[in-house]
Amino acid sequence: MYKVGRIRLFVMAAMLSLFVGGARAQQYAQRHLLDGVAVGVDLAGTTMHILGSDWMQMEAFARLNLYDKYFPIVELGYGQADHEGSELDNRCEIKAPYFRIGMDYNFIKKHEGNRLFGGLRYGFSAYEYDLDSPVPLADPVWKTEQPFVQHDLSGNTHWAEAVFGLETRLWRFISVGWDLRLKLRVSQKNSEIGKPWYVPGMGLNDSSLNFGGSFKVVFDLTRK
Amino acid sequence: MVNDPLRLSGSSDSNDSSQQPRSQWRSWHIIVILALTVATILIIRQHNPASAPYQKVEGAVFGTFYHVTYQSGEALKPAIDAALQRVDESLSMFNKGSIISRINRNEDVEVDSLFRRVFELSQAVSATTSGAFDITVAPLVNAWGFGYKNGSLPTDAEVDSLRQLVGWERVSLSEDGHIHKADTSMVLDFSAVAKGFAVDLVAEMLSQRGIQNYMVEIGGEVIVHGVNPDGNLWRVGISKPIEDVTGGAGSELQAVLPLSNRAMATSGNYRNFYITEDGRKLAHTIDPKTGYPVQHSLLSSTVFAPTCAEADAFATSFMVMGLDSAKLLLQSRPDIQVYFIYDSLGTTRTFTNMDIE
Repeated sequence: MYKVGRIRLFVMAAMLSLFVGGARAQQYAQRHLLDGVAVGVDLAGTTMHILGSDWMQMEAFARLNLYDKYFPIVELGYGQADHEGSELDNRCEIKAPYFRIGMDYNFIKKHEGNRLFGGLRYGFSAYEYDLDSPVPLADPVWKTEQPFVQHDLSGNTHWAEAVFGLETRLWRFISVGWDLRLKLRVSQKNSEIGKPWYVPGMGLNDSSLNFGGSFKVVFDLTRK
Repeated sequence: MVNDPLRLSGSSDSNDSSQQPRSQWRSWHIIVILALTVATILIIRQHNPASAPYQKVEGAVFGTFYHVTYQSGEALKPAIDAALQRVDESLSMFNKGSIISRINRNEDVEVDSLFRRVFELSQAVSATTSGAFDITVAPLVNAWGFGYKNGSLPTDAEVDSLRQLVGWERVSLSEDGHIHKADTSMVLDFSAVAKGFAVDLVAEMLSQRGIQNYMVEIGGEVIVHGVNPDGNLWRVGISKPIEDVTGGAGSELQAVLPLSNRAMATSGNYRNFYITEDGRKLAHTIDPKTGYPVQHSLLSSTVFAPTCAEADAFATSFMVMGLDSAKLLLQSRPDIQVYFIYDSLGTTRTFTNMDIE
């Protein structure tokens, strides 16, 4: 449902951006090496949490604009999750920062405030997490029981992302953008006791391949 | 006409003054006789349980379920729950206010009669089994259990360190009711005997009320007395040594045995066994004497004894001792019968010293 919701959002965003972009056919002047800077926040992570997800992300980014074509970007965020599993009876709690670094490419040649992006990211998060179980460990012979409570387990994850998105100017310096992301876990180190249910910035930790997306509000300073 | 009541009544007019009190007296006489008869029946029924109906009581306790069937007119669930509550308050590891929890926190606490009985029984079984049974083994069992769960087994140094906290001879109970531990970090754990003892305590309560026919079962530990509702011996089942994903109910049975005036407890390595390359099953159980898992072909040990606490403790002990050592011990304990399930070259076999037709 989450992924389908994201795709719907993306399609709606594309239609909206075409409408807005068509209404504002302003041609930009010659482009420069440093054509602008932008900062913004991603609202998708908090929105998903409000809608009932067990995880939440708060994320901000800073981006350079080179010739209105190349967009080096740094994304910094903080993710957290508190999830009770249904299969392993484990409860996972995790809070940690993460970052991504990468570059977007603007496919649109006309410099009129709309951008169609394709890009790559490298992401990393080092985290500590807790794993608890309401079902104690029981010995079948001695019949002893001990609670399964493991706190401050540590791990880290490296991953890569392919990004495809669009961005459109709403008003003066304010733009909004949507993107879809294909995330590939490159490496991960966790405690032998167990892995976290969620990795900040990467998303659910049930597969090496993950889909995600974002909805960004951008403060964009670009030369005219 | 004699058969006309009105006429008969009318013909007695002259005797009305003497007949009416006599008639009233007869009515009261009948009522009193009836009342006495009913009361007598009730009293006889109350004091003759053989004619009372069988009742079933069940509930949750110690993380499992209990089932009690008894023949009596009394509703005894409150009394059963009270008996189990006494066990919880004395022996439960999960009750932070229990006597054993307070002892493990090294608080100055005087033990109650329940604790004393279980402690003394446990120490006696430890002596009989040369330390195969040990109420101080929990730190080792927990470390290995955690290791198996996480794929990170304790190191030799960790085992050596934990062994300093284990040893049944290093704890004692003084006359004044205080536990003395050689090391304050030692912990006592009656998990291998407490359920059986709770069964005994409920059975004692039933016997004290004059109930002759009953079965008490808590999480698979059973005691039976007298006969079942059909008037026959009670029949108890022995589970196959396979993991019971249903949590008890509906598990596959290896055997069903007739039983009376005996207790039964089972200890099984339903999870802790692995199959060797040549198809043999080997179970591993933590040996308190070495601190390491001991591997045996014994997969399940069911013990029949006069009390369920004894059966419980010996069932665990035999899993540690293994088949041959257990057989050796049984030669000196004719009061104990067993039903062992073990692996022999990949084939499941059984051993029993019971008279089974």
